Order: sequence, then structure tokens, then C-alpha cells
Amino acid sequence: MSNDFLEISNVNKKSLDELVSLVEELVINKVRIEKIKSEFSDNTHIKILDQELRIISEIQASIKKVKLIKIKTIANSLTDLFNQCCIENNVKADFIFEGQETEIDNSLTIYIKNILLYLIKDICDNEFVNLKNGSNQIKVSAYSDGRNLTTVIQSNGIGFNYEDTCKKLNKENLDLLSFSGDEIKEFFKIINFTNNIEDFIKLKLDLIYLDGSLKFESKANEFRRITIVIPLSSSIMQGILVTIGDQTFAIPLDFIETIINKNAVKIKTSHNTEMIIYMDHIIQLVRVSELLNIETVLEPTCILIVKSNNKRVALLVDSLLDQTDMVIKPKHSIMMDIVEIKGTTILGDGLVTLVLDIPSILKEI
Amino acid sequence: MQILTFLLRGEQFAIDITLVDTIQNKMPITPVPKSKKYVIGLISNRGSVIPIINTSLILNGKDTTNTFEKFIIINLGNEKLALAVNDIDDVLEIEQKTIENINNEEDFSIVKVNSNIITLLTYKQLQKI
Repeated sequence: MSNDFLEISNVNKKSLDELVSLVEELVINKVRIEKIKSEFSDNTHIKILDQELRIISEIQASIKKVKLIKIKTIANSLTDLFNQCCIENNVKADFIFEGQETEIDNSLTIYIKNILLYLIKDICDNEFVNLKNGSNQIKVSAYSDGRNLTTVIQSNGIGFNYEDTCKKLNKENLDLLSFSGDEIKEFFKIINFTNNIEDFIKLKLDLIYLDGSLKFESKANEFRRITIVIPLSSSIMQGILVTIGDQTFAIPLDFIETIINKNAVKIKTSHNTEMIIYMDHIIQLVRVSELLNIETVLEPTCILIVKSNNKRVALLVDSLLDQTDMVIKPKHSIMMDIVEIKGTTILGDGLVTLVLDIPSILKEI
Repeated sequence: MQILTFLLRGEQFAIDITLVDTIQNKMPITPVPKSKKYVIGLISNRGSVIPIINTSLILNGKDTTNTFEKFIIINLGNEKLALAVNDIDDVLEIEQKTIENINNEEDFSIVKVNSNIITLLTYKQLQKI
């Protein structure tokens, strides 16, 4: 208790957010300072700039830790809900929460809390109905290895038959990321989860973008296990800058499988669709300029093969510019209906660059 | 109450000064494909990305994209917007009772200042964007 007291100090969330965005600005300027540094030849300038750069790096590292909070802050509300659900359903059950010391980003805790609240409610409503002998339990364990946060929700109870469910849905496994929205709805109907289908579909889309995973496992009358893996460094990623017309766009590197010269492959047209043959695969070709209604006069030179959710598409762009680190900012509400764009990022030159939303482009095609 | 007046095609318009965050000079704009007609593009300001609204298109239905010299950045709830205008004019002190609503709706207000009629851009009208 005394330790907790010493660790906690009151910080205004708004000023903290402002501080973080200021640091982001510093980080954006870092690239520019590095460029300026290379132009100097005398030692005094270089020394000062080096020092500034080091300070920026240190501020960047420590601001990351400031926003981290321990996951146990959400444990109370989860326990409360669990107890309430148990009373409602008139069952006796235990709630175990492991890994409460795990530190994650503040914004992520609310996200995880919502998912867990729904799951616990669903499990309480369905899982324990037929079991009233007191051995019921839900075990939530969260752990992070620095790159991913893994949350496992395991419960014993009626469960469901894993193989039969797979067969019914015509799937090899219950990795929800490969499911379509309707398939998720069907799956949830089978396992009687009713509370949060829409949220789950949203979670699925988020996880596809972040390259996480969402899996269900179960054995009838024994257990049910849900594993959610969320990658942590979500807003900072590497991207490839491409030009289309007179505009620059960024594509997250994680989705790019390979980049090829347009002249190295033949483009064939069939059923009014252009396609290329690459490594014995037939891949649909999409002209990004047509997709985004951008006029371009130059002949496109580059093909990027992008992959998401086991679907491949070749994107034809005018040219490649650079590879860069970027901080993705969510798009403004005024642009919400533009599905092709995931967000924006500010590059070293201070210009705003749009980030393409590869999973949703692939979905649209 | 204080209002900031600005010019669009020679006409005077005004906005409540409490809504205004900063005024920015013309800077490079990133156009947004497939966006709404009145969105000119995006700029970055103090680390945040702000969409620019073609104020002329909203207020009098005419397009004057090429002559925008200043951006008025306004706070709208949790988000920011930038209004593209030809030039900033003045800051005026007016009395609340000189504001008149047309058709008894709060969307369209005008103020009379020294026998000049100025269209006042209200929070409600901006929220519709």
C-alpha cells in the first residue's frame, strides 16, 4: 500500500497528452536536425546538435514510459462485473486475474477493458448455466514481452466442440482474423455469444491492421480459451513513400511483400481486370491513381505487391521515394468516410502525408 | 463580445473570437483524394493535422481556392478546423444584442457595425461541417 502511494502522483491527462504530442513534434524534427548536421563541418556546431539529438532521443524513450500504467487498474471493475453477473445468473464462480503488474499504454487499457468486460459477461451468461457445483472459474492472464501484449481468457464450463464448429463454418481453425463479418456473427451464434458482435468485428479489423491475432479454442464440457495478441508499438511504424500524380502517400511496410519494376512483368487483361503473373501467382493489378481519382500524366513505373489477410494485390504507383519511420495519427472526423486512407503522418519536411489503408483497400476490391 | 472579421472576395465575414485558436499564413497543403468538396486539404500545425475548409464555398457558394492567404484555425469541440480566407481584417467589439438571426434560426446571424452588415459564422453553423 505504501509503495503504491509513493508511485502514484496526480497528472492532468490533458497536459500529459499535450506533452506527448510536443515530443512527437520533436521526434519529427529530429530527422531534419540530422540533415542539417551533415551540412556543418566545424566541430562546435556538430557538438551542440549531437547533444540536442541525444536529449531528444532520451525524452522520446522516457515519455514512452510515462504513458504506461499497470493493468491492475482495470482489475477492480472486471471483478465487480464478474460478481454481479454471478449473482444475476445465480452461480458460484471464481475470478482469477494474473499478470496485474504488466505495464501497457494508457489508451490500450480502456480498449482491453471493454473487450474483457464483454467477454466476461458472455462467459458468465452462457458458460456457467448448467454447472452449479461451485468449481467454475474464469482466469484472465495478461503478459507482455515488450512487443506484444497477450491476453488469455480461459474458463471451464460447457465450452463447445472445436472440430464440429470448424466443420460447420468450413474453416481449418478458429482464427477469427480470417473470418468475414458474417462468419463471425454465425460463429458467435453457435457459441451463444451475443453481447458484443459489432465490437468484435471492429476489434478484428483493428487487429488485422496491427498484425495481432484473435483465436478461440475449446473442448466441449471442459474449457474455453480466447487468446488475444495485440502488438504494442502501434502508432509508430515503418513506411514506404510512393508518389501518385503530384502527391506523396505512405504505405506501411508490414503489408508490403515485394516491390518489382513494372517492366519486369507483363500486364494482362481479362474480364476487364488487369493482372500480372508473379512467381506463378496470378495477382490482380490495381492502379492506385484510379482508385483515388488522382490525375497522373507520368507512366507508372513501380508495382508493390501487398498482402493482408491472405489476399494479395499488386498496386501500381508512379514511383518510389523513400523508406521512413512514421507516427500515424488518426484521421480527422471530416475524412471518416474515405476508407482508402488509414490516417496521416507528418514527415521531416513538415508536410502532411496520407497513409493508405491496405486491408480496407483489399476488402473493397 | 469580440469578433474577428475576415475578407472573402472583398466581402466581410466574422467569427466569434473565442472559437479562434491561431491564425496561420499560407503554407503547403496536402490535398485529400475523395474528400468532400469543401475540404481543400490538410496542413500540420503544432504537431496536429488540421483539415482546411473552403470557407467561400460554405458561405456564399463560390469557389475562390487560388487566393487564400490566411488560415484561421478554430477549436470545434475536441477537434480543430482551419478556415481558408483571403485576408484577416480586424477585431471588433460588439454587443450581443446587435446580433440578429435570420428566419429566427441561429444558423444564420448578421451583425450591424457602423451601418455595415457582417455575416457572423456561428458555432452551430460550423458544427454542421
